[in-house]
Amino acid sequence: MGTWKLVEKPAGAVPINNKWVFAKKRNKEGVLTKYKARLVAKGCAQRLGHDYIETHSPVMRLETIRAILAIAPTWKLLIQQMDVKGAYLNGTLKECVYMQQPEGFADGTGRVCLLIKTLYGLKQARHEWNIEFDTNSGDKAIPAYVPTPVHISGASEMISQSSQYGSMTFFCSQQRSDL
Amino acid sequence: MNKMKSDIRAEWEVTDLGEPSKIVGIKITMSRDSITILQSKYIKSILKKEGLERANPVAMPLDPHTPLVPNLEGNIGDRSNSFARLLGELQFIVNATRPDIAYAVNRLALYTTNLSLQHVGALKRILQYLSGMRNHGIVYHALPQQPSFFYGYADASYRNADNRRSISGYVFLARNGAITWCLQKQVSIALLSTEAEYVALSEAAQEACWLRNLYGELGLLQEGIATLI
Repeated sequence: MGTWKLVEKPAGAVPINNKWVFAKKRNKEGVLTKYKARLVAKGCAQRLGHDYIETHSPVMRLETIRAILAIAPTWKLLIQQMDVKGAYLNGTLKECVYMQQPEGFADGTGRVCLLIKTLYGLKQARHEWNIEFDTNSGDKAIPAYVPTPVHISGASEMISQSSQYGSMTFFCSQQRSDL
Repeated sequence: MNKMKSDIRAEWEVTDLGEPSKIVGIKITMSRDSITILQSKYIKSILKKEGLERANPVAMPLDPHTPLVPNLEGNIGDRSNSFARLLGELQFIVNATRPDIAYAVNRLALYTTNLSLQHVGALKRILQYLSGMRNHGIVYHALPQQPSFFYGYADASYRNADNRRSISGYVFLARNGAITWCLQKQVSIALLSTEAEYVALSEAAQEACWLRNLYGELGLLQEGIATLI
Protein backbone atom coordinates (compact mmCIF):
# COMPACT_ATOMS: atom_id res chain seq x y z
CA MET A 1 0.00 0.00 0.00
CA GLY A 2 2.88 2.34 0.71
CA THR A 3 1.19 4.14 3.52
CA TRP A 4 4.23 3.75 5.76
CA LYS A 5 7.45 1.82 6.06
CA LEU A 6 8.91 0.16 9.10
CA VAL A 7 12.20 1.64 10.28
CA GLU A 8 14.37 1.51 13.37
CA LYS A 9 13.47 4.38 15.65
CA PRO A 10 16.04 7.15 15.14
CA ALA A 11 17.46 8.71 18.29
CA GLY A 12 15.45 11.74 19.32
CA ALA A 13 12.40 10.88 17.24
CA VAL A 14 9.09 11.12 19.07
CA PRO A 15 6.70 8.62 17.49
CA ILE A 16 3.05 9.53 17.85
CA ASN A 17 0.44 7.05 18.95
CA ASN A 18 -2.48 5.69 16.98
CA LYS A 19 -5.86 4.22 17.59
CA TRP A 20 -8.30 1.91 15.86
CA VAL A 21 -11.73 3.37 15.25
CA PHE A 22 -14.46 0.83 14.72
CA ALA A 23 -17.88 1.47 13.27
CA LYS A 24 -20.89 -0.70 12.65
CA LYS A 25 -22.76 0.00 9.44
CA ARG A 26 -26.47 -0.72 9.36
CA ASN A 27 -28.84 -0.65 6.44
CA LYS A 28 -32.25 1.02 6.42
CA GLU A 29 -33.85 -1.81 8.42
CA GLY A 30 -31.19 -1.52 11.08
CA VAL A 31 -29.55 -4.82 10.19
CA LEU A 32 -25.79 -4.94 10.55
CA THR A 33 -24.29 -4.99 7.10
CA LYS A 34 -20.61 -4.47 7.73
CA TYR A 35 -17.97 -3.63 10.25
CA LYS A 36 -15.53 -0.88 9.44
CA ALA A 37 -12.17 -0.25 10.98
CA ARG A 38 -9.99 2.77 10.47
CA LEU A 39 -6.54 3.46 11.82
CA VAL A 40 -6.13 7.04 12.96
CA ALA A 41 -3.01 8.80 14.11
CA LYS A 42 -3.23 10.84 17.27
CA GLY A 43 -2.69 14.21 15.68
CA CYS A 44 -3.04 15.92 19.04
CA ALA A 45 0.47 14.68 19.88
CA GLN A 46 1.98 16.40 16.86
CA ARG A 47 4.21 19.38 17.53
CA LEU A 48 4.12 22.47 15.36
CA GLY A 49 7.35 22.90 13.42
CA HIS A 50 8.47 19.30 14.02
CA ASP A 51 5.61 17.18 12.76
CA TYR A 52 3.49 19.67 10.87
CA ILE A 53 3.53 23.24 9.58
CA GLU A 54 0.61 24.08 7.31
CA THR A 55 -2.86 22.68 8.03
CA HIS A 56 -5.15 24.98 6.09
CA SER A 57 -7.75 23.44 3.82
CA PRO A 58 -10.68 25.23 2.22
CA VAL A 59 -14.17 24.02 3.06
CA MET A 60 -17.22 24.65 0.95
CA ARG A 61 -19.63 27.27 2.24
CA LEU A 62 -23.31 26.37 2.47
CA GLU A 63 -24.05 29.65 0.68
CA THR A 64 -22.08 28.49 -2.34
CA ILE A 65 -23.97 25.21 -2.49
CA ARG A 66 -27.27 27.07 -2.42
CA ALA A 67 -26.14 29.65 -4.95
CA ILE A 68 -25.26 26.87 -7.39
CA LEU A 69 -28.39 24.83 -6.68
CA ALA A 70 -30.48 27.95 -7.27
CA ILE A 71 -29.26 28.45 -10.82
CA ALA A 72 -29.07 24.76 -11.74
CA PRO A 73 -32.70 24.30 -12.93
CA THR A 74 -32.75 27.48 -15.00
CA TRP A 75 -29.41 26.97 -16.75
CA LYS A 76 -29.93 23.21 -16.95
CA LEU A 77 -26.80 22.26 -15.08
CA LEU A 78 -25.98 18.67 -14.33
CA ILE A 79 -25.13 18.04 -10.72
CA GLN A 80 -23.26 14.91 -9.76
CA GLN A 81 -21.87 13.74 -6.48
CA MET A 82 -18.88 11.50 -5.98
CA ASP A 83 -17.15 10.24 -2.91
CA VAL A 84 -13.46 9.41 -2.78
CA LYS A 85 -12.71 6.33 -0.70
CA GLY A 86 -10.19 6.91 2.06
CA ALA A 87 -9.59 10.34 0.62
CA TYR A 88 -6.93 11.49 3.05
CA LEU A 89 -4.81 8.40 2.42
CA ASN A 90 -4.13 9.81 -1.04
CA GLY A 91 -2.28 12.78 0.36
CA THR A 92 1.50 12.57 0.55
CA LEU A 93 3.16 13.59 3.77
CA LYS A 94 5.96 16.14 3.41
CA GLU A 95 7.12 16.12 7.01
CA CYS A 96 8.97 13.27 8.67
CA VAL A 97 6.49 11.75 11.10
CA TYR A 98 7.04 8.54 13.06
CA MET A 99 4.20 6.47 14.46
CA GLN A 100 4.05 3.47 16.78
CA GLN A 101 3.05 0.22 15.11
CA PRO A 102 -0.69 -0.32 15.19
CA GLU A 103 -2.16 -2.54 17.87
CA GLY A 104 -2.62 -6.11 16.70
CA PHE A 105 -0.22 -5.66 13.79
CA ALA A 106 3.04 -4.98 15.60
CA ASP A 107 5.89 -7.28 14.60
CA GLY A 108 7.46 -7.15 18.06
CA THR A 109 10.77 -5.68 16.93
CA GLY A 110 10.10 -2.26 18.40
CA ARG A 111 10.47 -0.62 15.02
CA VAL A 112 8.33 2.39 14.23
CA CYS A 113 6.33 3.42 11.17
CA LEU A 114 7.72 6.22 9.06
CA LEU A 115 4.57 7.64 7.50
CA ILE A 116 4.46 8.24 3.76
CA LYS A 117 0.78 9.01 3.25
CA THR A 118 -1.31 11.31 5.41
CA LEU A 119 -3.14 9.09 7.83
CA TYR A 120 -6.51 10.18 9.17
CA GLY A 121 -6.02 12.18 12.32
CA LEU A 122 -2.83 13.92 11.25
CA LYS A 123 -3.13 17.65 11.42
CA GLN A 124 -1.90 18.23 7.89
CA ALA A 125 -4.01 15.45 6.33
CA ARG A 126 -6.74 17.76 5.04
CA HIS A 127 -4.16 20.20 3.68
CA GLU A 128 -2.24 17.57 1.75
CA TRP A 129 -5.40 15.98 0.40
CA ASN A 130 -6.54 19.35 -0.87
CA ILE A 131 -3.23 19.80 -2.69
CA GLU A 132 -3.51 16.27 -4.11
CA PHE A 133 -7.04 16.86 -5.30
CA ASP A 134 -6.30 20.31 -6.60
CA THR A 135 -3.27 19.34 -8.68
CA ASN A 136 -4.64 16.10 -10.06
CA SER A 137 -8.14 17.24 -10.86
CA GLY A 138 -7.39 20.84 -11.75
CA ASP A 139 -4.77 20.03 -14.38
CA LYS A 140 -6.53 17.14 -16.00
CA ALA A 141 -10.23 17.05 -15.54
CA ILE A 142 -11.36 20.62 -15.48
CA PRO A 143 -9.77 22.40 -18.45
CA ALA A 144 -10.71 19.45 -20.62
CA TYR A 145 -14.33 19.95 -19.75
CA VAL A 146 -15.04 23.54 -20.45
CA PRO A 147 -17.87 22.87 -22.86
CA THR A 148 -18.74 24.86 -25.91
CA PRO A 149 -20.71 27.81 -24.70
CA VAL A 150 -24.35 27.36 -25.47
CA HIS A 151 -26.08 30.03 -23.46
CA ILE A 152 -23.38 31.02 -21.07
CA SER A 153 -19.64 30.79 -21.39
CA GLY A 154 -17.49 28.42 -19.39
CA ALA A 155 -20.31 26.69 -17.62
CA SER A 156 -18.08 24.11 -16.10
CA GLU A 157 -17.22 24.43 -12.51
CA MET A 158 -16.05 22.15 -9.82
CA ILE A 159 -16.30 22.85 -6.18
CA SER A 160 -14.68 20.64 -3.67
CA GLN A 161 -15.87 20.20 -0.19
CA SER A 162 -14.20 18.07 2.37
CA SER A 163 -16.17 17.04 5.36
CA GLN A 164 -14.91 16.37 8.82
CA TYR A 165 -14.64 12.69 8.08
CA GLY A 166 -12.48 13.33 5.09
CA SER A 167 -14.84 11.84 2.62
CA MET A 168 -14.96 14.09 -0.33
CA THR A 169 -18.00 15.23 -2.13
CA PHE A 170 -17.95 17.48 -5.08
CA PHE A 171 -20.22 19.02 -7.58
CA CYS A 172 -19.47 19.17 -11.19
CA SER A 173 -21.87 21.28 -13.06
CA GLN A 174 -21.86 21.26 -16.77
CA GLN A 175 -24.20 22.44 -19.45
CA ARG A 176 -26.79 19.82 -20.28
CA SER A 177 -26.85 20.27 -24.03
CA ASP A 178 -29.45 17.65 -24.84
CA LEU A 179 -32.21 19.28 -22.86
CA MET B 1 -19.37 14.64 -17.94
CA ASN B 2 -18.74 10.90 -18.27
CA LYS B 3 -15.18 11.49 -19.40
CA MET B 4 -14.63 13.78 -16.48
CA LYS B 5 -15.90 11.10 -14.13
CA SER B 6 -13.69 8.41 -15.61
CA ASP B 7 -10.69 10.73 -15.33
CA ILE B 8 -11.42 11.14 -11.65
CA ARG B 9 -11.92 7.41 -11.30
CA ALA B 10 -8.54 6.81 -12.88
CA GLU B 11 -6.92 9.00 -10.28
CA TRP B 12 -8.59 7.77 -7.08
CA GLU B 13 -10.91 5.08 -5.87
CA VAL B 14 -14.34 6.71 -5.80
CA THR B 15 -17.97 5.90 -5.17
CA ASP B 16 -20.23 7.48 -7.76
CA LEU B 17 -23.32 8.76 -5.99
CA GLY B 18 -24.96 10.11 -9.12
CA GLU B 19 -27.35 12.97 -8.59
CA PRO B 20 -26.95 14.13 -5.02
CA SER B 21 -29.81 13.38 -2.65
CA LYS B 22 -28.13 14.70 0.46
CA ILE B 23 -25.39 17.18 1.26
CA VAL B 24 -24.32 17.53 4.90
CA GLY B 25 -27.71 16.23 6.00
CA ILE B 26 -29.71 18.58 3.81
CA LYS B 27 -32.11 16.69 1.60
CA ILE B 28 -32.08 17.69 -2.05
CA THR B 29 -34.98 16.84 -4.33
CA MET B 30 -34.45 17.46 -8.01
CA SER B 31 -37.08 17.57 -10.64
CA ARG B 32 -36.98 18.78 -14.22
CA ASP B 33 -37.80 22.37 -13.37
CA SER B 34 -37.04 22.79 -9.71
CA ILE B 35 -34.70 21.89 -6.87
CA THR B 36 -35.93 21.70 -3.30
CA ILE B 37 -33.75 21.67 -0.21
CA LEU B 38 -35.12 20.74 3.20
CA GLN B 39 -34.10 19.36 6.56
CA SER B 40 -37.26 17.67 7.80
CA LYS B 41 -35.34 14.65 9.03
CA TYR B 42 -32.95 16.67 11.16
CA ILE B 43 -35.81 18.76 12.54
CA LYS B 44 -37.72 15.61 13.37
CA SER B 45 -34.76 14.12 15.20
CA ILE B 46 -34.40 17.26 17.32
CA LEU B 47 -38.13 17.28 18.12
CA LYS B 48 -37.94 13.63 19.07
CA LYS B 49 -34.97 14.19 21.33
CA GLU B 50 -36.81 17.01 23.10
CA GLY B 51 -40.01 14.98 23.37
CA LEU B 52 -41.92 17.48 21.24
CA GLU B 53 -42.63 15.28 18.26
CA ARG B 54 -46.34 15.87 18.52
CA ALA B 55 -46.20 19.45 19.78
CA ASN B 56 -49.04 21.80 18.92
CA PRO B 57 -47.83 24.02 16.10
CA VAL B 58 -47.73 27.78 16.59
CA ALA B 59 -47.82 30.40 13.85
CA MET B 60 -44.89 32.50 15.04
CA PRO B 61 -41.51 31.33 16.34
CA LEU B 62 -41.29 34.15 18.91
CA ASP B 63 -44.12 35.55 21.02
CA PRO B 64 -44.31 39.27 20.14
CA HIS B 65 -46.06 40.16 23.42
CA THR B 66 -43.46 38.83 25.87
CA PRO B 67 -40.30 40.93 26.12
CA LEU B 68 -37.22 38.82 26.78
CA VAL B 69 -35.18 39.98 29.75
CA PRO B 70 -31.86 38.70 31.07
CA ASN B 71 -31.92 36.78 34.32
CA LEU B 72 -29.47 38.73 36.48
CA GLU B 73 -29.03 35.91 39.01
CA GLY B 74 -28.41 33.36 36.26
CA ASN B 75 -25.35 31.21 35.75
CA ILE B 76 -23.20 34.08 34.48
CA GLY B 77 -20.31 33.05 32.30
CA ASP B 78 -21.25 29.46 31.69
CA ARG B 79 -22.28 28.64 28.18
CA SER B 80 -22.13 24.86 28.42
CA ASN B 81 -25.77 24.14 29.06
CA SER B 82 -28.42 22.21 27.19
CA PHE B 83 -30.08 25.47 26.15
CA ALA B 84 -26.97 26.59 24.31
CA ARG B 85 -26.50 23.16 22.76
CA LEU B 86 -30.06 23.11 21.41
CA LEU B 87 -29.67 26.67 20.17
CA GLY B 88 -26.58 25.59 18.28
CA GLU B 89 -28.54 22.84 16.57
CA LEU B 90 -31.22 25.36 15.62
CA GLN B 91 -28.53 27.73 14.36
CA PHE B 92 -27.38 25.04 11.94
CA ILE B 93 -30.95 24.72 10.65
CA VAL B 94 -31.06 28.51 10.25
CA ASN B 95 -27.80 28.51 8.31
CA ALA B 96 -28.79 25.63 6.10
CA THR B 97 -32.41 25.99 5.06
CA ARG B 98 -34.50 28.11 7.43
CA PRO B 99 -34.07 31.90 7.46
CA ASP B 100 -37.56 32.18 8.95
CA ILE B 101 -36.41 31.29 12.45
CA ALA B 102 -33.17 33.28 12.22
CA TYR B 103 -34.47 36.22 14.25
CA ALA B 104 -35.95 34.06 17.02
CA VAL B 105 -32.77 32.00 17.35
CA ASN B 106 -30.61 35.12 17.26
CA ARG B 107 -32.62 36.80 20.02
CA LEU B 108 -32.49 33.78 22.30
CA ALA B 109 -28.76 33.41 21.75
CA LEU B 110 -28.27 36.61 23.78
CA TYR B 111 -29.35 34.77 26.92
CA THR B 112 -27.19 31.65 26.95
CA THR B 113 -25.28 32.89 29.99
CA ASN B 114 -28.19 34.33 31.93
CA LEU B 115 -31.02 31.92 31.44
CA SER B 116 -34.38 31.90 33.07
CA LEU B 117 -37.45 29.75 32.58
CA GLN B 118 -38.76 32.38 30.17
CA HIS B 119 -36.01 31.66 27.63
CA VAL B 120 -36.41 27.91 27.85
CA GLY B 121 -40.11 28.45 27.17
CA ALA B 122 -39.31 30.66 24.19
CA LEU B 123 -36.98 28.00 22.83
CA LYS B 124 -39.74 25.40 23.15
CA ARG B 125 -41.93 27.77 21.18
CA ILE B 126 -39.47 27.78 18.27
CA LEU B 127 -39.59 23.99 18.34
CA GLN B 128 -43.40 24.11 18.31
CA TYR B 129 -43.23 26.41 15.31
CA LEU B 130 -40.80 24.05 13.57
CA SER B 131 -43.04 21.13 14.39
CA GLY B 132 -45.78 22.64 12.28
CA MET B 133 -43.43 23.79 9.53
CA ARG B 134 -41.00 20.88 9.46
CA ASN B 135 -41.63 20.02 5.84
CA HIS B 136 -40.95 23.51 4.58
CA GLY B 137 -37.76 24.16 2.71
CA ILE B 138 -36.48 26.28 -0.14
CA VAL B 139 -37.47 25.71 -3.75
CA TYR B 140 -35.47 27.02 -6.71
CA HIS B 141 -37.44 27.13 -9.94
CA ALA B 142 -36.43 27.08 -13.55
CA LEU B 143 -37.37 30.54 -14.80
CA PRO B 144 -36.68 32.34 -18.04
CA GLN B 145 -33.03 33.31 -18.25
CA GLN B 146 -32.59 37.00 -17.70
CA PRO B 147 -29.60 39.26 -17.15
CA SER B 148 -30.59 40.21 -13.64
CA PHE B 149 -31.42 37.05 -11.78
CA PHE B 150 -30.60 37.68 -8.16
CA TYR B 151 -31.67 40.45 -5.87
CA GLY B 152 -31.63 41.18 -2.18
CA TYR B 153 -33.23 42.94 0.72
CA ALA B 154 -31.54 44.56 3.67
CA ASP B 155 -33.00 46.05 6.79
CA ALA B 156 -32.00 47.03 10.29
CA SER B 157 -33.85 47.12 13.54
CA TYR B 158 -32.60 50.06 15.59
CA ARG B 159 -31.51 49.31 19.18
CA ASN B 160 -33.40 46.08 19.20
CA ALA B 161 -30.76 44.04 20.96
CA ASP B 162 -29.36 44.61 24.41
CA ASN B 163 -26.46 46.98 24.92
CA ARG B 164 -28.07 49.60 22.65
CA ARG B 165 -26.97 47.77 19.61
CA SER B 166 -29.02 47.37 16.46
CA ILE B 167 -29.70 44.20 14.52
CA SER B 168 -29.09 44.04 10.82
CA GLY B 169 -30.20 41.47 8.36
CA TYR B 170 -30.24 40.77 4.68
CA VAL B 171 -31.48 38.11 2.33
CA PHE B 172 -30.65 37.44 -1.31
CA LEU B 173 -32.97 35.58 -3.61
CA ALA B 174 -32.42 33.89 -6.93
CA ARG B 175 -34.94 31.94 -8.97
CA ASN B 176 -37.69 32.43 -6.33
CA GLY B 177 -35.63 30.96 -3.52
CA ALA B 178 -33.42 32.46 -0.86
CA ILE B 179 -29.73 31.74 -1.48
CA THR B 180 -27.92 33.65 1.24
CA TRP B 181 -29.09 35.39 4.36
CA CYS B 182 -27.67 36.76 7.54
CA LEU B 183 -29.04 38.17 10.75
CA GLN B 184 -26.61 39.70 13.20
CA LYS B 185 -26.30 42.07 16.07
CA GLN B 186 -24.28 44.98 14.71
CA VAL B 187 -20.76 45.29 16.04
CA SER B 188 -20.87 49.02 16.66
CA ILE B 189 -23.49 51.20 18.26
CA ALA B 190 -25.52 53.18 15.73
CA LEU B 191 -26.70 56.57 16.93
CA LEU B 192 -29.50 56.91 14.42
CA SER B 193 -31.86 54.44 12.86
CA THR B 194 -30.56 55.69 9.48
CA GLU B 195 -27.05 54.82 10.55
CA ALA B 196 -28.18 51.32 11.52
CA GLU B 197 -29.81 50.96 8.11
CA TYR B 198 -26.58 52.02 6.40
CA VAL B 199 -24.62 49.41 8.34
CA ALA B 200 -27.09 46.72 7.21
CA LEU B 201 -26.92 47.96 3.63
CA SER B 202 -23.15 47.86 3.68
CA GLU B 203 -23.13 44.27 4.87
CA ALA B 204 -25.64 43.33 2.18
CA ALA B 205 -23.55 45.10 -0.45
CA GLN B 206 -20.52 43.03 0.55
CA GLU B 207 -22.54 39.87 0.11
CA ALA B 208 -23.82 41.12 -3.23
CA CYS B 209 -20.24 41.65 -4.42
CA TRP B 210 -19.33 38.13 -3.35
CA LEU B 211 -22.35 36.65 -5.12
CA ARG B 212 -21.57 38.63 -8.22
CA ASN B 213 -18.00 37.36 -8.24
CA LEU B 214 -19.16 33.80 -7.70
CA TYR B 215 -21.67 33.92 -10.52
CA GLY B 216 -19.15 35.77 -12.64
CA GLU B 217 -16.72 32.86 -12.25
CA LEU B 218 -19.51 30.57 -13.43
CA GLY B 219 -20.00 32.71 -16.47
CA LEU B 220 -23.24 34.31 -15.36
CA LEU B 221 -22.52 38.00 -15.31
CA GLN B 222 -25.22 40.07 -13.75
CA GLU B 223 -25.57 43.66 -14.81
CA GLY B 224 -26.87 46.01 -12.19
CA ILE B 225 -28.32 44.80 -8.94
CA ALA B 226 -31.29 45.89 -6.93
CA THR B 227 -30.87 45.94 -3.20
CA LEU B 228 -34.04 47.13 -1.57
CA ILE B 229 -34.85 48.25 1.90
